[in-house]
Amino acid sequence: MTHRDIQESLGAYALDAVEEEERRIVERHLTICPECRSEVVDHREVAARLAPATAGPSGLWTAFRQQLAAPRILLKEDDRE
Amino acid sequence: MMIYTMNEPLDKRADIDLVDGITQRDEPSLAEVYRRHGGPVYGLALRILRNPDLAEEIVQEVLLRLWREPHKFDPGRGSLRSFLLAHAHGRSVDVIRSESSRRTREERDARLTAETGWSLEEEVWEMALADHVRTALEELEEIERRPIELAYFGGLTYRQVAHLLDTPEGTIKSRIRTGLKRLNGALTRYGLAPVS
Repeated sequence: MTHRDIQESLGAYALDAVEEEERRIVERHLTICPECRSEVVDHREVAARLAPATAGPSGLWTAFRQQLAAPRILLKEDDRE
Repeated sequence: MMIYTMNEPLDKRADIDLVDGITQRDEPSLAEVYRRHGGPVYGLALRILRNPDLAEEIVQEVLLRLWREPHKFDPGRGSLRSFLLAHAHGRSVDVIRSESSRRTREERDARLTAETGWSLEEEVWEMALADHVRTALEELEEIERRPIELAYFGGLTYRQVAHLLDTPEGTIKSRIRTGLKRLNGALTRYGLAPVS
């Protein structure tokens, strides 16, 4: 895919609407193209506005804190950093 | 800088300072991130998955990853909210596309092809949007808005959208892109801070 082709894909890419192979191609291109990176940022900020401005469900944070507190091998590895 | 932000009330701190707090294992910083952004993250996952338990799992995944890998947030690559929502969106779409939810997806596809107008869930969704966002969406032509909705909320690839709408793939990709740019322009005009 050329830079032009990839540009055309950036909207769909930002919405997770491309298939695996195209996603890889776009991501590879993004590592070397600030213009396309900037456009993806724009699309994601716009998409973020489409999420509802509501509060999270009550109880979710409490349940999550228990997960944080529960001893887990992975968490111990983090503590070693 | 660290001492200053420690004295500042949590809800006054900038997102980047909260992430900084998270790198220092400050749990209240993560709690404040949840308070600010958890709602939209949950709401988006719920809109896509239509399952409160799964949506809650998505939120927990997103929070957990931020807790474990706060360095992955790059403020130069967008806001913290869009970062969290992008993660939530990607994970929600993964769930939709997995084999185990194939049957649900087929049912949903059947519903999508059958429906001619708004469903009640979409109406409720619309109501939860800020006025200016709703107005901006209405500025889009249907041919731009529908592919964006199908892709973003339906978790469809542009190829699936093209098939559903009986339109060439390239056209759908292009309309998604121009639609998002038009939305950006409209939101900027309505006084939202410009995206970049």
